[in-house]
Amino acid sequence: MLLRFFSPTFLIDTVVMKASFPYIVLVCLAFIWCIAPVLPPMLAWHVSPANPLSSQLYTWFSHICHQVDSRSLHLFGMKLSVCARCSGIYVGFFLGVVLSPFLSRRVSLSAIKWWALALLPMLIDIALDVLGIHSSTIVTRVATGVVFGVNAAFILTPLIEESLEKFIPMNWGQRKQGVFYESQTR
Amino acid sequence: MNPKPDKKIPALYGGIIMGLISAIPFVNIINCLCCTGILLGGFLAVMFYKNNFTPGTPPFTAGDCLAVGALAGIVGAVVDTVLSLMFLAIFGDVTQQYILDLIRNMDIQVPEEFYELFEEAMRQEMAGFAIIMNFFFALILDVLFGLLGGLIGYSVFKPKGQQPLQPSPPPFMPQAS
Repeated sequence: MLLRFFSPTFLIDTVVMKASFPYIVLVCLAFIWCIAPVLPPMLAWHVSPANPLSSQLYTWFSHICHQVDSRSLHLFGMKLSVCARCSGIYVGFFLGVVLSPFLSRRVSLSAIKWWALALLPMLIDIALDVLGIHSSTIVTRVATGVVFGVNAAFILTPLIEESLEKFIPMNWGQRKQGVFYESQTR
Repeated sequence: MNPKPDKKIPALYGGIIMGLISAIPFVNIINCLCCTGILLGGFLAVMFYKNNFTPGTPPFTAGDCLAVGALAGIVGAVVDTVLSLMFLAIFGDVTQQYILDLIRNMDIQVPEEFYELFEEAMRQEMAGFAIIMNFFFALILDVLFGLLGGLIGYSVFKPKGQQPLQPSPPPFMPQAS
């Protein structure tokens, strides 16, 4: 039974075909954004440490994140292009976008309360670190980042979908069905 | 019904705040926290936009807030680039100079080439190509995070009568056979 969830047929028939096209666009964009910080160390390791694409990606992400070495996750001995907390937020956001159709409708909170709950673990971690009560570690940074990212995705996914539908009104499943019925009637 | 209020003025205010936060030395460090300053600009633009609505106007939509956030991002990128150049011309790169002094005063061994590279990078900031590249980066980032800020604003200021958050329906679950 559980294995059916991971079979390609199940994924295509139920997730891809029934999801709206804007939702699929959003999943793809979130995945690209999530993967982008991992690329510079991978490129540096596989191609050459001084390859231009890797350094351009580091420069691009330096506008978003402090990239402090001691606060970043490392791959092949090189830091990712964003810090551990940002990595957590991006991975959490991607997970949240994927899980949003299954879970976010079960939560009935006002947006302000939801944002407050999403930010709370991160703020507590930062505050305790600043006050010297508990030192923030890579694990706490990633964990609080993931919590924030998942919750942000739960709030924003329906809104992004709603606004993308104006530009991409086509429903993926309906379009596929239309093509299918057309070929059947010919 | 009255038409919806103009988006340009709230976007201009939000963009100016966004540009100021991104350009003022040391204040712009806030953008290291996932572009919080830029998100705030988009959020405030939506807040100003919402304030222009009256009971007679149709409610604002997620698309309106995205547009306001994106416009604020464009204004923010222009304001950020112009102000950054002004600050650079008047005061020099105070933030990077501060970091350089901090490293020099610390008890760590840093090769002399590092300082030369750092100072060279600071000199190149005023070069024409670097200015264009910085504007290009700022434009993409400000528009992207302005859009997100606008959406966050929409989630918070959404009119009460509108539908609650409705994600796409969950995929079909097969019954255990």
